[in-house]
Amino acid sequence: MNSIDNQLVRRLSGFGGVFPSDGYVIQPYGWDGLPEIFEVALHEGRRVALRGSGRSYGDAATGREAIVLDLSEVDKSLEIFEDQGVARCGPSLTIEELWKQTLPRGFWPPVVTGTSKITLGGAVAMNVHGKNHAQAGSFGDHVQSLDWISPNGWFRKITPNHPEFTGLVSSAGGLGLATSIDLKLKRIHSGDVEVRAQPTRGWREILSELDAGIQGSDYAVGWLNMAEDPGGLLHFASYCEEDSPATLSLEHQSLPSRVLGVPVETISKLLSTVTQTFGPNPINWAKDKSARFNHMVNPGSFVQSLVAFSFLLDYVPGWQRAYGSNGFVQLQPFVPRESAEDVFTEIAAIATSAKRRPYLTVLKRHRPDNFLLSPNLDGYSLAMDIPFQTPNDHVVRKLCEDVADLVIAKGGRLYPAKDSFLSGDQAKTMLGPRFDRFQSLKSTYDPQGLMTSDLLERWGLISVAG
Amino acid sequence: MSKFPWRKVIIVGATSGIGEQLVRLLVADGAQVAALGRRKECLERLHAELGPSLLPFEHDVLESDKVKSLFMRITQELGGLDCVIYSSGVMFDGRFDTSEDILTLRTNFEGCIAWMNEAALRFRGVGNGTLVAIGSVAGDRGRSGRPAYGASKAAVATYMESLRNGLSKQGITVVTIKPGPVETEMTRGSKFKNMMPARTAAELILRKSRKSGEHYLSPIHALVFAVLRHIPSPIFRRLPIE
Ligand SMILES: Cc1cc2nc3c(=O)[nH]c(=O)nc-3n(C[C@H](O)[C@H](O)[C@H](O)COP(=O)(O)OP(=O)(O)OC[C@H]3O[C@@H](n4cnc5c(N)ncnc54)[C@H](O)[C@@H]3O)c2cc1C
Ligand SMILES: NC(=O)c1ccc[n+]([C@@H]2O[C@H](COP(=O)([O-])OP(=O)(O)OC[C@H]3O[C@@H](n4cnc5c(N)ncnc54)[C@H](OP(=O)(O)O)[C@@H]3O)[C@@H](O)[C@H]2O)c1
Repeated sequence: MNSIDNQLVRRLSGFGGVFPSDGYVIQPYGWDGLPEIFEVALHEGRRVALRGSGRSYGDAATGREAIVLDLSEVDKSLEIFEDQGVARCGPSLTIEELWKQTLPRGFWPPVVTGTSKITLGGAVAMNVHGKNHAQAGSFGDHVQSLDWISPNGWFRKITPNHPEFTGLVSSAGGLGLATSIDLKLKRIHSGDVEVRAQPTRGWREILSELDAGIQGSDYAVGWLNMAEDPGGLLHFASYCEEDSPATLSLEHQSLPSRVLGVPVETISKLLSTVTQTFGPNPINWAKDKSARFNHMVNPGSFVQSLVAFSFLLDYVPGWQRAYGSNGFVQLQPFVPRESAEDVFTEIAAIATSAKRRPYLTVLKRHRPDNFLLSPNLDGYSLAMDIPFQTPNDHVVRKLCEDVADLVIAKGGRLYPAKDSFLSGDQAKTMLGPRFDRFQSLKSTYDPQGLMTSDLLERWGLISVAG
Repeated sequence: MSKFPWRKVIIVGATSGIGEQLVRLLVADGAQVAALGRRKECLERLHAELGPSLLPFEHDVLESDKVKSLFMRITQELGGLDCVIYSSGVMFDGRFDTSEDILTLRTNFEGCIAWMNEAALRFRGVGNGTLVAIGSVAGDRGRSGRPAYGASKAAVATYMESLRNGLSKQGITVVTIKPGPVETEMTRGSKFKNMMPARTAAELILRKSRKSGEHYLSPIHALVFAVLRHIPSPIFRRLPIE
């Protein structure tokens, strides 16, 4: 490749479908071609953005008028070292492709996200977390080594001892790209988890019950209804310990193609009709009631396959279309433990007064780490889906800005994989000294300030420290 | 609320007349507009008056080999592109002057192809965008007065029809505007009557460009030219139309 052309331009957006931007999309066929692409970018005065599966909700994997490297296919290699329990993965490999290879050998990815469709490159870049964050840490905590290429060349075998490791993991595409990832896997004996469901109501109770439940479980998550009187269901799950080779098979893990007799493809259409006509309330109501009903008939715990427990959202392909054609944002504030009850109460009030009650709210417990752009702290996060009612819904924008101001003022953070609105000033305040540290890493990895994304541009993280 | 759906627009032939009015309307509507033409002083005046929403670019459409790189530079500076309007044009009285006629064809048609091709390539990948070319009622029939001008506008109409037939199923809006006489530098001193003010023409052009197709600027023109297009040549020749 020696130049770029108009024919390469594609309109890209994040998973939420809002704020699309156009970029010159290139699918590299191997790592050897990358230095040449960086050269072309430099020559043509363009920046370079990275994209994995495009599952970030906001604008982290788009680059307005930039060269966008689509990394979803370039390297799906996988080598499993069973004796060490380590997988050496190409960054294009998805979590789904990984677990399908490791599970029959008795290994499970140590951290999985709510969808299995993300690439491991995307997992490193955002330092993703799972429903076991408080217990097991984030994705970066399990990475043993990275190979990296940046506009400044190759960097091989970067391990957690390396001072720059905490910057590369969570770098959101701003420092170059992972080309190989060594991931420590979790040894498991059964492909099932034992799940305990617990209804709960009121922020104080919700948060303390979550904390209590985490002690004896491997995974914990809350599915909440964000009302003035919030409530919902907490799920605590633990790996089944007894040897059960049959449950490690792919057949055992396959998701049903029908739910209550309805083909899953039809479900998103049904959901769409309900939500477009009546808004979120019927869905939230039905979720709440069915959860309570389930709990009534089955008050103890139940066994679920790891896949069914982990990737609920992958059950219903296209579920996000239920939110309508204007797209949606997912807002995920991370709030310190001490102020969580107050801040969540206020967020619920802001959403109610804006008449934008979230459709789906997921509560998680987190723990702090040193990965530079990670939002992780000792506290909780709420992931809230809020649809746009018009193509550029100013009410949602104002809501998100207000929530960000509130959260940052209380020492909280926003997750770059979900953000669409944070301003440069807010990002600088939020990140504190990490902001400058990230910029100074650019002088090693990206001295010409070539790496970009619409998010990094908005957050003011393109320039190199002087 | 903006009146028009385009936020990032290129206007080729923006230094006077219809193009200039298009620039003014779009900037007033909150769009960012790249204005192109040869006359530097006109671009500077517009820039001083309209501020940073206007990006001026000196360009001679006869230099069609420069269009690709300029197009990419402009889209980068605009940070995207929703619409391209080609309004550059010259008109001479028919004097059987080959150099004038070739200049007419090149300005009105060659430049149009160069800009529309670049925009079509980009919009096809994006699956969205609006292409507008200013043709003329003069392209509907072979009039006696300005053979090359009429032919250039007929060529523009046919070329745009082809683009429309190929691209509208890919989400792209392709528009040919066929104005009648409009009060601009082009028609100064001419004997046209009932000329439309350039501002009115520009307003109508933007309103009509939301929909793919060939558009006249008044219902009377639409009707009259629907009839004129079907009159056999031997009869057309006898009508008092130059
Ligand atoms: C339904 C759903 C559920 C989700 N659940 C969770 C969850 O539970 N926990 C959680 O943490 N997140 C969750 N996410 C967010 C998602 O995990 C992250 O946004 C993740 O980064 C997406 O990976 P991707 O491959 O789609 O990357 P993209 O979204 O395409 O890109 C993400 C970032 O990675 C960078 N990047 C891509 N490849 C590389 C590479 N090889 N090297 C360096 N940088 C690279 C890009 O520049 C970009 O900044 C969820 C998303 C969805 C849609
Ligand atoms: N006025 C009418 O009655 C009428 C009727 C039907 C159709 N039209 C069409 O409407 C369009 C606009 O014309 P107008 O009436 O607004 O006339 P105008 O005021 O003379 O404008 C013509 C525009 O074309 C540009 N142009 C001419 N040669 C060019 C070149 N070589 N390179 C770049 N730009 C060039 C001029 O810019 P520079 O000189 O600065 O380069 C100017 O901006 C033309 O296509 C015309 O054919 C006009």
